[in-house]
Amino acid sequence: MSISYDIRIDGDVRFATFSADDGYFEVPIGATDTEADLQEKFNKILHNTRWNKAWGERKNKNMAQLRDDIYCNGQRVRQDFTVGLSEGSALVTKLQQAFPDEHDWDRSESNLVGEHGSYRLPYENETISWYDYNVKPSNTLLTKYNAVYSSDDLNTWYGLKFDMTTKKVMLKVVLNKVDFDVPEFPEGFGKVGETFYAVTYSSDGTASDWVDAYVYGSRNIVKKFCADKSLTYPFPDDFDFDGKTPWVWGFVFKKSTKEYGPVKAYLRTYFR
Amino acid sequence: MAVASSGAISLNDFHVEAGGSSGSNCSINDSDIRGLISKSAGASMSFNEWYGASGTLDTQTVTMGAQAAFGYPVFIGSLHGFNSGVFGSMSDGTCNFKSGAAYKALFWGAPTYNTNSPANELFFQITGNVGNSGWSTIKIASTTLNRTDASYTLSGGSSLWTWSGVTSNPFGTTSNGTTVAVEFA
Repeated sequence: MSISYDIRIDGDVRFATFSADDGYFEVPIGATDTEADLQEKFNKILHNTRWNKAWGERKNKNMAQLRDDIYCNGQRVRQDFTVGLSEGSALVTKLQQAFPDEHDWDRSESNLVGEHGSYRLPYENETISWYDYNVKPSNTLLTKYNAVYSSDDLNTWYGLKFDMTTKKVMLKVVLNKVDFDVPEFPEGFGKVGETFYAVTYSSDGTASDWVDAYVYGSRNIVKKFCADKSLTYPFPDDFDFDGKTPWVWGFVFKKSTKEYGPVKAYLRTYFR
Repeated sequence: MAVASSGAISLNDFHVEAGGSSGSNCSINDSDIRGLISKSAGASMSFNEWYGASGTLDTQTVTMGAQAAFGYPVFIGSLHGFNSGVFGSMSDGTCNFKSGAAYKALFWGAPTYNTNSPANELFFQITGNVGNSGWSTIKIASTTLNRTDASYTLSGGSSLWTWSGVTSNPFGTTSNGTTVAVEFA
């Protein structure tokens, strides 16, 4: 939807002015700017404002003391804790007992760990997910799972999924972009370029056909998108958000067919 | 640098002090030139009134700080400069040309794996609705940026100017604790 605007003259410069999102904006109009250029500039400044607001809300939060509640199909399916919290520490102990010294579990205080069942494919048993933050997966790890990516495409975190029954471990590679077609996602808080993806590899080196796309968006936008696409909204109808908004939404889809899978929501609580 | 306080001075000196290019066309009645001595259009003016005139509205020193831009757990990049109460500092922190309003932020977003916002953008923020006027340029170390090249946002009780496509770090350093001169004109 295009944004209508007024013109303000400032010396030799013309500004396009408009109000949106409880803010007022002035964008310099370049000599060669087309209407499309201007609309792109408007979207960018709106995005910046939203980013600043979201970042401003988080900048003083302690990234080492948080919990993510993950909702899917109308119920809470998982809780992830930073490794420094008592719940996270208990799960790290469990991992260490089952997979002794396999990884430096609390290498980063931002590392998250969570226990969950088989609420979605490719999980089949009770699983502990461990996320290593602020680092790309090592070449050794990528090679072990036959995961071939350019370093530029890799995000600075990855996940390992420990099946506590079979003792097999899956690798979740987080990617800034993918080179295959993806289904449509809600256009909301973030730009398309800020959607990121995760591909899960089994211990035998095969990649799951089910891929995760992580998207930023408001509750209203995602709820409408789910309704339009006949997808199940992650939260129950009577859910009390207590003023919170999920920091990210996960859209599972089948790479081969672009079929949608479940939709996830990540609701974050900071403890300090 | 102000116009000389004695001796021979020229219209070109006034123009340069006002931010114009040396040798380019100007007149003594141009708003930026008469603005140096706070004269209204068409007012009577004498050359000796420009002795010591300065286009500098405020000078500050930024002590560099930095923060990883954790907009989300996804690492986007790093921010360098000053953001009140979060990282870095600014010498006296109050804006002389906006009635002492508090400087809130002046930082540059360094890109890492991608160029999504805030990468390659310079942010300058003052507390309050101060309006998109009243100053012309900001000089950070040796880099000068025009106010009218920035997008202006009034939101959340603050005024924010954003320059896009700032691919070189205007502070010239990302070393925390280093001081960088900032001048407004």
